Amino acid sequence: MPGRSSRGDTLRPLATLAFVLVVATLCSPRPAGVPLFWQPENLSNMLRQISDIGILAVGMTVVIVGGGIDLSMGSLLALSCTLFAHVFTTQTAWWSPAAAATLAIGICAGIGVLSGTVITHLRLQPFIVTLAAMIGARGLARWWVDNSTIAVGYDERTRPLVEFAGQKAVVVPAFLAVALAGFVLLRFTRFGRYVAAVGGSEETARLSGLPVASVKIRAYAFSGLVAGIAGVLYCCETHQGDPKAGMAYELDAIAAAVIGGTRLAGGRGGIPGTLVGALVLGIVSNVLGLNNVDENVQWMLKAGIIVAAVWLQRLGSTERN
Amino acid sequence: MKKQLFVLMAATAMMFAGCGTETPDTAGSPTDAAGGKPIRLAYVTNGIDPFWTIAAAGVRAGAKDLGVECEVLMPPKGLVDQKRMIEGVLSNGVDGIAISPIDAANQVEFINQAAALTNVITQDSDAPGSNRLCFIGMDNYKAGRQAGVLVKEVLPEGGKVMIFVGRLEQLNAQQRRQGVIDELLDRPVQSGTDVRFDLAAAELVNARYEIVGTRTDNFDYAKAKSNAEDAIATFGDLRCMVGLFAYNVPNCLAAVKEAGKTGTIKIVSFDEADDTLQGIIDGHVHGTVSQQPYQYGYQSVRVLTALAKGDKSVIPEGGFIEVESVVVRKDNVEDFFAKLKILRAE
Repeated sequence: MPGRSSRGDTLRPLATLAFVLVVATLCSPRPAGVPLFWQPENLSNMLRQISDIGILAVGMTVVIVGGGIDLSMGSLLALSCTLFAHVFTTQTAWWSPAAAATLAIGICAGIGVLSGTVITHLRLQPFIVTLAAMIGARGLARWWVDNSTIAVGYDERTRPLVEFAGQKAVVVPAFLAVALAGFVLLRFTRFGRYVAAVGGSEETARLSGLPVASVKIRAYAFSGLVAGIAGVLYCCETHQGDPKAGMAYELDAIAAAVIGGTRLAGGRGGIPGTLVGALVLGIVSNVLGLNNVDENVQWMLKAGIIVAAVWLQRLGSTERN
Repeated sequence: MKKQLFVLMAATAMMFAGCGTETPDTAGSPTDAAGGKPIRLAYVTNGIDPFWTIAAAGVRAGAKDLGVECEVLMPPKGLVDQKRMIEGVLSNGVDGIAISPIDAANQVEFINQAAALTNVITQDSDAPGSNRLCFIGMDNYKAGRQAGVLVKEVLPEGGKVMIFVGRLEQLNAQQRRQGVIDELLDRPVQSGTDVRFDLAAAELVNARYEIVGTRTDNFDYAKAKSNAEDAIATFGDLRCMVGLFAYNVPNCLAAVKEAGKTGTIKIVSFDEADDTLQGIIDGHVHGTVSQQPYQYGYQSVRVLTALAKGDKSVIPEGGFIEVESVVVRKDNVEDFFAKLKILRAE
């Protein structure tokens, strides 16, 4: 059965995580003899820092396992963030936060459905279609607010909700809830089995009578949906409806999925591995930040560490290419 | 296949049908020096930010008062995007451009190319050595020193200070940072045109203050917050955060609040983000140095309009039109905030 992860598929990302944790412990500053990295406050910071990209990575994993890719996720985050801020700040009725979140997330899910529909019915490559969605969604976000950013959460009406939803105690559990939903979806539902089957061999899945088009569309709808959720959280965390938010976040999401063992060709992968991948990225950024390393140097080191992490988790795998 | 082709052609036809250009009503508007066509200007920012929203309000007010057209362009992706936008307005023909250069040192040649085609001025951040006609902005080095004074006011006993900024390639960011550093280290005032910059890795410490680092985020708000969180974790005895760009302090403030260090870590800011001003009202931010971006927009339109009419008397000797910065503290914040809301609504 395509998509079923082997024991090695589960262990390799964990071995990579263990390696990165050891390196993080060794490289962490020790102001009082204890590694700063392991302090609870720092760990919770790190989890918050990876939450937005982690949520995108969950959606990305579902799409990649299904044999696709979604380059629009960063732009959808920006669109959701901007729409939420705009509706929330301009509509003063008591239901405006719910309406703003529903509209923002719904439109992102709708764009996911549109991408999936174009991919399946016009038989275009996912890379091209989601690239177009990436450009279009960013343009829509910028047009909607006339290139401006919307400050939210500064008045008595919007502040309580934005401050509540933007705190670590909400953002991190929201990330974990999305990850759990993605895990259940992929591992325990018929849809999840179909996604893996379609990603493993679309032709075989079609010949077996699986609803390939519907499965793909729903996978992109899911990625759009979670990008919308990430956008609302991003807005609350930064107090800004920012149309330039999430630039290149989709690449970090892909990196998290790949580090976690998801095969880019589709058919294999899972949310636990993606969580590990997101953690690896977050730990690397966090430790470099704790060491006060220049951001440009951080990028270079991260690039090397991503390659090393993927190589490490491929060690021992029968599938080396 | 034929059906798909038809749909594609129909969609393309509809797109072109919708692309008709809208001709603005320019009857009675001032014309350029040749007296032929209405004056058209462009105002190019260095990114998208609430700061530029206020500047855009000044641009609109200036354009309305003077009866000219001025397009505001906000490049979302940095230097390359800014260059593309400027090339676009030059291709369309424009009577003047006000630019906030992203990378002053490396944009001189490009600004010179633009200056050969139209009137070019810089605003907010300068590109010294280029052929721009003048620079409209505050003295960023002086403003940096004002921020340093705010740090000294709130932290007279001294301590560790961390600086946060979007990117350090911009001259205004370099000058502000240097102003803060020089003030805290009690160095003599440097000349505004020939400021010597300390390297990021330099040891910056005297008997009272230690500047433990300068963190950049490339305009990524989430990264800005992460930087603040990491700084709080790394330096348990951090006493003050200085944000050089508008969005830095709101993110610093959020990180300080979440770490439960409100009051312990003092905050000093630049510009006038809502959260910064609310933070001053609440007592969580000591003060901010405001650049008056509205005036950047308004004055840019005024100067470019005069230049388009052939009036070069608007360029002062030295080519620097200073917009005085305003220091906002608890005593004047409410009045400042109220006026700002009126400007934004315009």
